[in-house]
Amino acid sequence: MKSGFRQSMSWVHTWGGLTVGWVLYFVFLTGTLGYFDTEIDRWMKPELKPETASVQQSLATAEKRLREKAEGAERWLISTPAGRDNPYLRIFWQMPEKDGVPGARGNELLDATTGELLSGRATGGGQTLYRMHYSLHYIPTNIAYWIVGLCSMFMLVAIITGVVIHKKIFKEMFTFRRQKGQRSWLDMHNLLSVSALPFHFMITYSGLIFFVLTYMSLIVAGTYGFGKDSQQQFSNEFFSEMHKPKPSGNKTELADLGSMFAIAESEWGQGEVRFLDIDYPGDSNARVNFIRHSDSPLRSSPELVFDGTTGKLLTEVPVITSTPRAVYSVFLGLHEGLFANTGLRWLYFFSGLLGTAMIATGMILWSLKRRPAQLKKAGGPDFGYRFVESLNLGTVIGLPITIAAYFWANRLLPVDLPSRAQWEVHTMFIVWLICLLYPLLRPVTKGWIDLSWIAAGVFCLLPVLNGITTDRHLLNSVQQGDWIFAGVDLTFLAAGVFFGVVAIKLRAQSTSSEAEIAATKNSAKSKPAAGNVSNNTPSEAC
Amino acid sequence: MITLSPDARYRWQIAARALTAIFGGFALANASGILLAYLLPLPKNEAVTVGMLLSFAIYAGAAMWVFAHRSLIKSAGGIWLLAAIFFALIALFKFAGVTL
Amino acid sequence: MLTAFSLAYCACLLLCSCMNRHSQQLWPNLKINPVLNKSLRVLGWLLVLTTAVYCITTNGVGTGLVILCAVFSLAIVSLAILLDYAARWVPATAIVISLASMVL
Repeated sequence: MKSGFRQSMSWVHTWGGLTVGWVLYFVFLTGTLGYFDTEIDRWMKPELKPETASVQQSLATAEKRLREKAEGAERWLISTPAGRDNPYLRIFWQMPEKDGVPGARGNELLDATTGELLSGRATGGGQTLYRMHYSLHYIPTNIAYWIVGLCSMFMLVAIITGVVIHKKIFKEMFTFRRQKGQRSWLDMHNLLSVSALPFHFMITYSGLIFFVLTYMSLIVAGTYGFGKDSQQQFSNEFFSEMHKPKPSGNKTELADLGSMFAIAESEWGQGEVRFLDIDYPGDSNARVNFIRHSDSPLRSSPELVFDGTTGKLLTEVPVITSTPRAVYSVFLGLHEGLFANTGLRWLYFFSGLLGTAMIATGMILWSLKRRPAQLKKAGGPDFGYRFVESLNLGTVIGLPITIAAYFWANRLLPVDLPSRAQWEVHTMFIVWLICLLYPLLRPVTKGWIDLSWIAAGVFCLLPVLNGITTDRHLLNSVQQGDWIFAGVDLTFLAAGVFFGVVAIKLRAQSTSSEAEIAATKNSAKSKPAAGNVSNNTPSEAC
Repeated sequence: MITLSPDARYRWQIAARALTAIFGGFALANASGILLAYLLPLPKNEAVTVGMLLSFAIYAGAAMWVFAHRSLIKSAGGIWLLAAIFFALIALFKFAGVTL
Repeated sequence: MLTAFSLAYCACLLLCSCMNRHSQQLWPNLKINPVLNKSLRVLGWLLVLTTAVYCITTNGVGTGLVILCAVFSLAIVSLAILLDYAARWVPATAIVISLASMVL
């Protein structure tokens, strides 16, 4: 399109990146927080104490509750409380389909000792935040999947074109030059991109693969045929669910889950069971599947299948059945990072932040590059330019403030407020709207400094707010060795300090650049012709 | 005959390329996925999986190709033509009763 | 994890010591001749390899490769920023992290 391949790719990188940058920033930031979803869940329900009930007790409680709620279900899932992923007893049920209408489903968190629903404030928790990174909010999920998918596709193209146009990947691997204006931003953008390039590529490609059956359903249709049955046949083969029998319709008592659990643990070791998946409980063809924790990026993990009426171990389902499926599974496992221990989880979080910052610096670069020419324009900057500039401010700094607002709402909204969990999210988006409109009140450069200070304030004060509204303040958590609570509080503090530093740097920069602008304005007055040359037509701007 | 100003021409060209990258690329990615599933000497399910896994890479490649060439006909037309050929081949396979 | 990071950090330190721009930042008084330069580069890459072997042998291939990528991301970013703001601290940091990883 342009004179050379590299120039064309540079154009694609710049404009493709700009088009979807804001959505990607949202997806990356909320997704990054998702690496600490259950930790955030726990911070947002400070009333709950850690679960202490035994596995056997949890299983009995879960079964009792499921019998009450979902007799004759097609499927029950039970996650016993164990480790980071399942701090509490969780049950899920799916009723059978009737006359083409999908059966009801539900899930609950239970107190494993008393069997009561877990009390505590109504909150979206970390899960709501994490789900936003692929299903957004306020729009139907299947539309959101396509929006996020298209943006991810742009991201993939931006990553590849970014590598193509970066001339000195190895030579400038460690290069960052501060206080050089646009050059520094480009250095930072390159550093953030190159240092975590494998992560950026993996997270984008695997994000697409997560919804491959939605996005590329035509490939299944083109090979297996159109229609629901063909889709079903493919997914049965794909998820190798052929071994599952059909329900017989004869009622038989479900065998004791506790003794099956004991057998599973003797096969795998203690604490290795991730959850139980029970097909047709109460039917004579019931199957109880035990799924193991995965300790590697391969997402699918071994399963033990028990006969649900006799309690006898039938088979162990192998993890991998074919290479393509293993590749698929590894991509998903890498994306979710469920196998990561605490250290690696932090590194995942850090890499996610690098990606988020990469997108932010990219968008800032777009507007910085055009700023000198735009400021020289006779009628002031174009509408398009001002629009991008405002959206950048309202998103790059506004979204972190928004997320802080979500946590503030969790502590401040009255506990008995109807649909409280929804109001936490509403608060979030109202605050975002205010941040997006903020540039209408203040010049953008000033706005950056203001909002950075606000972000610093709201994050630094979150641990204080937590200390005032609950009895689990930071010092308390550290003393008790409750590193989940302390970790969340300390991360807020770190975020606050980060935005404080950003605010100070921006203020220093704006005072020096104001002097610069004054200087260029003076020189432009003396040489009016020179100023007009750089007013690029859109075809030349890149 | 409508004559367009260079600016307007440029805008139309970008629009055509962008639409080709998004929709043409999508068509080509799907077509290549199906074709790969037909051509790969693997069990049906695995061949389809490979096709699906690679389709995003093909999509990205197609999108870049659309913008790589100076001539709109060569780049955008190429994508649509290739997608059409692939779909024709798939139709031919179906018609000839080739099974996976 | 800390051992993997300290290995990655030292590998990056060696690799940027043989790059013109950074060797001046790191060792302003040192004249680096081609032989030293070459040996630094070889040593750096050997350390990259060592990091990889260490990660894989202690965590398995899958998790090991993930850790390898992650510690190099962290090492590259921290080194690049330290080089610009406080180049003098870079070698000291390498020593501290290495010692810490041995003790912990």
